[in-house]
Amino acid sequence: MTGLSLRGVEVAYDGQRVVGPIDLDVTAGSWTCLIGPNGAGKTSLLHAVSGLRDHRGSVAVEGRPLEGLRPDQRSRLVALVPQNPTIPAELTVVEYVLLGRTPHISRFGLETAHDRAVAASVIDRLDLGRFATRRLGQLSGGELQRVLLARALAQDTPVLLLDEPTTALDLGHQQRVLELVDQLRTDLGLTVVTTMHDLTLAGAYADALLLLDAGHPVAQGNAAAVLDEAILRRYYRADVQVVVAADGTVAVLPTRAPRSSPAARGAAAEETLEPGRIAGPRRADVLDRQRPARVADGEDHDDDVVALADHGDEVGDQLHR
Amino acid sequence: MTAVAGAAGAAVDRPRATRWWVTAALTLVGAAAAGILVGPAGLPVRGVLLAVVGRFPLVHVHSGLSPTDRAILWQIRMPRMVLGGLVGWTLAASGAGYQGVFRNPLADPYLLGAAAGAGLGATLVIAYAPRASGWPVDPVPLAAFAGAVAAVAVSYLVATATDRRAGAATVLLAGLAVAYFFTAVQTYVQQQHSATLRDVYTWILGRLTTSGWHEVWLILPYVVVSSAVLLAHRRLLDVLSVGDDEASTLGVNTVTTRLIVVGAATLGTAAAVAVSGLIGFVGIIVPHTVRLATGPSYRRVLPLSMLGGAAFLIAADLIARTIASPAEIPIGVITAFFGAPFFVLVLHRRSRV
Repeated sequence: MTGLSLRGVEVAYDGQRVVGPIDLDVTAGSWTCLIGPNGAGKTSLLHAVSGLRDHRGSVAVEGRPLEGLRPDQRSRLVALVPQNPTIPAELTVVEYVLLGRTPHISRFGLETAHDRAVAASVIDRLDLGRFATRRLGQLSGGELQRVLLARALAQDTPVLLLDEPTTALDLGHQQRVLELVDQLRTDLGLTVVTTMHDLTLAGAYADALLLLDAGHPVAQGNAAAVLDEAILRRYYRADVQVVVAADGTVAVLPTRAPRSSPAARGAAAEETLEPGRIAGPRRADVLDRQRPARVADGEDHDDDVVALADHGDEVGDQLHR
Repeated sequence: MTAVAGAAGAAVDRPRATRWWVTAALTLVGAAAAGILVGPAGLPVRGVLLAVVGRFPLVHVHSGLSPTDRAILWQIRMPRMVLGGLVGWTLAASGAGYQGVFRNPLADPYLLGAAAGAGLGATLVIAYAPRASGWPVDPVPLAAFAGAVAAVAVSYLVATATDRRAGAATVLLAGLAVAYFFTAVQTYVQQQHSATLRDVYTWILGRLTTSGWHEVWLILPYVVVSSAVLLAHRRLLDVLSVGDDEASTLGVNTVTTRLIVVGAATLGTAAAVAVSGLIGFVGIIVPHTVRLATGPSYRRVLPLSMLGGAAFLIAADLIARTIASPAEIPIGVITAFFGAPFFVLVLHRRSRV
């Protein structure tokens, strides 16, 4: 079943089209990630789906068109965690999560026992019980991200939109938040659409990627298909190396162009020698353990990895290129 | 209340700050008692209390008050205390409402030009329609009411013409412009009629002199409607704390909600200003104190501000009419006198957070 379907969706600012037209079908219970350079229209598209921005075309959740619905009806179908949420620092976690029940509460009503039960269950599920009475301003970035997720889950919608959910989180917290989203998607059958800048994480967690450029869809499919060096170079204007592990995991590694002259390279290596000596072998170890690895172009580059480990003093230079 | 299971259940079901409700109610009762017990006439405490208790249904006690004492109690002190309570209640509730819809802790009921509009209305009447001219009702309160409502309406219209969604910042800036404009006109009129300076000045400083229960009945309907609408929006004001965009994704029509809350708060403020002049600081001090004590949720801030505002203004009026007795200090001076140090306290608290 299609969880979310977009037909000819366009977003315009001041009469100028910035997104679309976009057609997209997201299978119910799957995870689609919108990727693309800054200004590609990822956030605008999420805002159009959530009803924050006027749009042309049609958006349907599980076959039900959102156009013409009242705001509260729409909010019972789609929840959005924005990239830069407004945090009322003095509200407690419980009070904030309960706000997520708003679409289910009559205009002048208060939360029922059922609403409180839903909020309590979400707080427990996200392991926020011990923070329940703490104020939002007292939470760390990782805790706050879970609280934002909790409010969206309390909305109890079939579609969950997450705009850059891992921005400003360290690597461990990024993984934990994404694992949590994936777990919730599986357990609750949520249809998840995110935007993400970290292409490796996007490829690792999403079932499908949609690459946008200047508001237009330019590549769509699974990670192996979309995270292609040529595609990324063209649309991100970035030098990257794409590594595909045996289990199909795709890693996108930024690379640097060679320096202009051997003298300059030597000088740079001198400057970075100490960190290079430490970082070099570790990096090689990691890559070594992940063997067999292959690069997206199909050539076997295992030898390169070994070579990286074998040439101690050159490693720093290699990694700092 | 049904108990909610799970580790978070206890937190979700947490009792609602009962002690603050009791504190606010007791403070109001205490202020009200002082308001009717203290005054130059020196009424007997026991007699006053018995007279009040005797007014309750099915209670028959003899107060022992003389007819003069009874007249002082029921026609002078009681209506003045009740009026002070209603004005404080309304200004504090309106302040809380404004702070909620504009997500600005320093918003007060006069933010969108209500004070400037009321000032202009009152000044126009004082300057051009002297009271001796045989009006059936005092035109100053009516003009102040109309001026306050007109100024806020103009602010909103200007904001909507600029920004279709009438965002909080646009409305605030429009209110600022309208307030300055109305104040400029008022100052000009005042300068042209310098004989009225004293009357205008006295009105602007605020006062709670009454002619019996007339003023109380005059503003009561507005206070009831304004309070009911504001209280009905207490949960939505919490939702607005996440900003317009996120509140929209939660299904709230932020434009309509802001308009209704501002309308209700303005109605209450205009009614209060009409009978009491411009009494400042109540609309900021009281909601802030409640917020510091109980947290930012408007489910507590709004109703507790109503109780606290009533108590605060009754107490301020008590000070205003006794501290320099038999002279009266304008109540606006008293609220400002306590308001300024309070701001310092708030700033101090905020800087420590």
